[in-house]
Amino acid sequence: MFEAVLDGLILVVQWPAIGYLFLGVMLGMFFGAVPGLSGLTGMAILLPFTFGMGPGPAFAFLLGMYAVTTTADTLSSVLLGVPGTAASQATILDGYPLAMKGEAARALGAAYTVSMIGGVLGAVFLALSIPLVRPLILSFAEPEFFMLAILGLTMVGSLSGGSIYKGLATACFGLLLSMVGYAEFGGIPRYWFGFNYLLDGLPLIPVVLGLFALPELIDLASRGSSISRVADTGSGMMDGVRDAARHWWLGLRCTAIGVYIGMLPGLGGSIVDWVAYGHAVQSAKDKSMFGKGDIRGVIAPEAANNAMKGGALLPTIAFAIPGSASMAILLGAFLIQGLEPGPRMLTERLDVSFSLVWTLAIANILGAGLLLAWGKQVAKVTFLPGHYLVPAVVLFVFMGAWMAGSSVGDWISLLLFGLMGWVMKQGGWPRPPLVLGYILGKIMENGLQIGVQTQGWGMLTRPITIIIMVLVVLTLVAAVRRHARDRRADGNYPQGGDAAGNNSAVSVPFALLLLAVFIYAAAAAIPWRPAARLFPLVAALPAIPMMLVALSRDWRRLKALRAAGPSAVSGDDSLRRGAIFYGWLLAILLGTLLIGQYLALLAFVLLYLWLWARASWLTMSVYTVACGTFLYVLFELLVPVIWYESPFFDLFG
Amino acid sequence: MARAARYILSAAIAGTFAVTATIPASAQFYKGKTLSVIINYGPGGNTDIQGRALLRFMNDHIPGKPRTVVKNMPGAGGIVGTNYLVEAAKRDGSVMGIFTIAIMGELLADPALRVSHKDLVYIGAIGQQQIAHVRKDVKPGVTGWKDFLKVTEVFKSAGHAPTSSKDISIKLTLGLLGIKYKHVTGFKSAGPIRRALLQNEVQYTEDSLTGFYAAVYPTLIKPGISVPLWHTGVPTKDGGLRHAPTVDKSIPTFLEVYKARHGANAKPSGHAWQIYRKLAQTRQFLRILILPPGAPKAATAALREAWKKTTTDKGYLAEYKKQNNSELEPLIGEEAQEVISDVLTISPDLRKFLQTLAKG
Repeated sequence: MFEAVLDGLILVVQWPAIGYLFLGVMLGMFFGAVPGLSGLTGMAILLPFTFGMGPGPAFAFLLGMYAVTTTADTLSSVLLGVPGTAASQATILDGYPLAMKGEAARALGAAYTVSMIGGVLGAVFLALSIPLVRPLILSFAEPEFFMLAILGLTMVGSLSGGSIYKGLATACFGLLLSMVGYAEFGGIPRYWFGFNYLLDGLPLIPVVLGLFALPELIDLASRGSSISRVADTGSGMMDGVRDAARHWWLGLRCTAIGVYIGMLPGLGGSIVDWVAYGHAVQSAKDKSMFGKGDIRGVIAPEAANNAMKGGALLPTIAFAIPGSASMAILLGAFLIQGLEPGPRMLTERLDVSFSLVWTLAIANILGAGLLLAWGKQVAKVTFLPGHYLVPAVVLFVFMGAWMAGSSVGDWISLLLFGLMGWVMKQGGWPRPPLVLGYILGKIMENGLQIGVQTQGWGMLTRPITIIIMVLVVLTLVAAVRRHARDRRADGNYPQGGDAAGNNSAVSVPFALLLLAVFIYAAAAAIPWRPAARLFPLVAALPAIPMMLVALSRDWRRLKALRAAGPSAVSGDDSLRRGAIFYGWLLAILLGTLLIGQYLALLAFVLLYLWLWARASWLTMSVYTVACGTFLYVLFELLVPVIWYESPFFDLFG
Repeated sequence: MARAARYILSAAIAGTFAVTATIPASAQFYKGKTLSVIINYGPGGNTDIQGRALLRFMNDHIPGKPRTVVKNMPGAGGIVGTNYLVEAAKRDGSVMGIFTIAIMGELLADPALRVSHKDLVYIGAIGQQQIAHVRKDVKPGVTGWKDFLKVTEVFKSAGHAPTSSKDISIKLTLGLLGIKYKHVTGFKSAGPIRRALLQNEVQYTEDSLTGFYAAVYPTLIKPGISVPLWHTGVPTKDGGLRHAPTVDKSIPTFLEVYKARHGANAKPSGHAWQIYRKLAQTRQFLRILILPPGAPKAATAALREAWKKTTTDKGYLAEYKKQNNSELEPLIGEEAQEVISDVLTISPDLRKFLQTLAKG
């Protein structure tokens, strides 16, 4: 065993493997930092380059890149409020508010420290788990996944801010969204309205970018000030490192959460940060700062999303069961290398398995070390005037959404969910439960459908299912008691990033719309086959009374405000400016249909700087040319996309 | 754009020298252009890995060596990509598809599939046999395909969707053999089915040759958990099936197993057998290289020629063998175009039988 550990290390540190590892880490930081690219894109692009390499350099290259994407993705999550990858969605809830308080460097310092420790511990855990892997992985089947997803849903209570009814209703809406598309077990398409785009369901990235990134962008453009609302506080990366040390126990718990979730193929990386964040909120005594810039809200997801990768490797190498698309590509790399994934990887090719562990550990140290060295400088972006950031961030967000499927549908989703996210933020509707419901819905439905087919309702009496069920009940009881206590203590609500709004004039129409959606969804599901209609009904029907409660509360509040006078209802000028800016974003879509995507984006940059930011001609010219060059180099040469061309002329052949 | 300037320059030079009249249009078609390649399954799957590998070699044989950009468009068992290619993709030869054919969608008249495979322009195809396998501990124990005919336990088979060709094939073959089973469907991909097999939640399924040798063999067959039973077989003109040259001799065709069950002279017939034959035919062009309807003839000719050359490229053949543990079974575009029309012709009562089978 010890010999295999050493042989694995030699495979990684010998030339040229170590060179490829370093190159992979550099590329991984790029794929993680640019929203929409992610480790999956990196894997798909780098895989062909491993043809002809030996196993050592090939895996050092691929895994070196993959290991650090969830370290680098923190940059845009914290600095811009734009999730760098799906695994850093929850980081923005407290990371971005910290940036707004001028403490971006502190947030980055804490995130990189726990990312490094989480990544290395994840690798160590992977090494230690090799002998135990079989019973561990094989004891979780569809019934257990179903119950785990329900346990995940209990996090809604922690992520709902002040209104549990609104939280539950948006979680139900998320569940419904997860049912858009082709229902495999029913053999019918659901809620697709004849759009080919919706047959495969709504893609996660445009939805998340819309819900979280666009509202912040609208806010930034409306305000025109820098992201940080205060002058440089002088907080540095080392403050964050100290925070990470102070909250070591939370970091360790979230590392364990990350490893276990990674190890269970089927749960996926997009859930890990939410579970860790939910755990941080649930286990905290003082929750009042969550959503307003609590460093624990950064530490928890960032420790978990790096640790998850060590866990995810196990089922892939030991059973050829990839838990994610990235791991499926890694499985492809095994084939290309002529290696057989399977139990023999843990006996006869243990050296190669350990080389993967070493690669993960070294890449995590290298990636986090480099980012810690640069972070302070990069964090200065939060003190730049907002108007100079907005055009560049719009490019990132729109191209990030485009990477999901290179379809106009991705931009329509982005804009629709952007509008929804903005309205929800203004109206005090929590957004995290929606994403949680959306991610967990598919796992729950699949787990229940297959579980019932293989086990009947006896699936609920399996030992692990019962244990998880008990945990669900305990969590619910604790949540109800805590909620009641917090209501009495007033103000100890975790805000889930939605502290800003509670505008009933916005909330009431939104609630009415959502209510109509639930009624339609339930009515549309009734004629479907039982297997296909069960879940839509389970999601839509309970949401209707919750909506009515939330609606009546908002209605009463609106009436009280009306009684106080018209100025109390109409809100401030930011709503009007926000609506105008949203129109600008809509114009990018319409412009694309006329002059093609590349020119439409550049036209937006130019016009925004001219009319909105009132920039000088020199600034406008240099900025627009720089954006044009950036788009061309990145998305035409380095990570080629299929551009949407004008119906009248072609730019990209 | 520099690229646009290059095109203009190329066009000007080409115009100046009227020698183009002596060069076939297909030889110049892709020069300086981008070829977008749609793959109708997600990254990392068999279609994706095979598609990207063949593109690497095929690109060298396309005259003008265009730049290729790959885009995965998964969903609804390959239907999303198929709809897109016919309904929305440019028809100027700049978009090609490398698909796993969504044949069942069309035979079943699935409402989600809005286009016909007959309308596509075929560049070529790759055949892939399917192999059925079962856990050895199904009572009273299975050490080979002959034992499987004596099983007494009602085992569980696993598939992806009632309308997927894997599910249909499982129901047809087990039905034709008269073996009792319970079918479980809804598994997103082959990975979760392998997990369920390891966990003994299900006991039986089918996998394509690539998946079988790449993942099933090392995790289930070699460790002694499951055994291979039969492979689809290649349809012959006399209505039978012959052994596929790509499959190990020890794994019989389904027809051999059928005869062992029902007698050496037994000849399968009826709706179930007709559908099975169609499935077996489809296996000859499981992965298809296609252009949207109305694609320019020069593009079709250039790509068909490139595919022909790729099928004899030693580098590609070696890569294919490494990834699939079997030889390449290629089909050239014109052949594929012919066979597919035949497979897609289905009588109303045969379609009704198939729809009932999918629902059941």
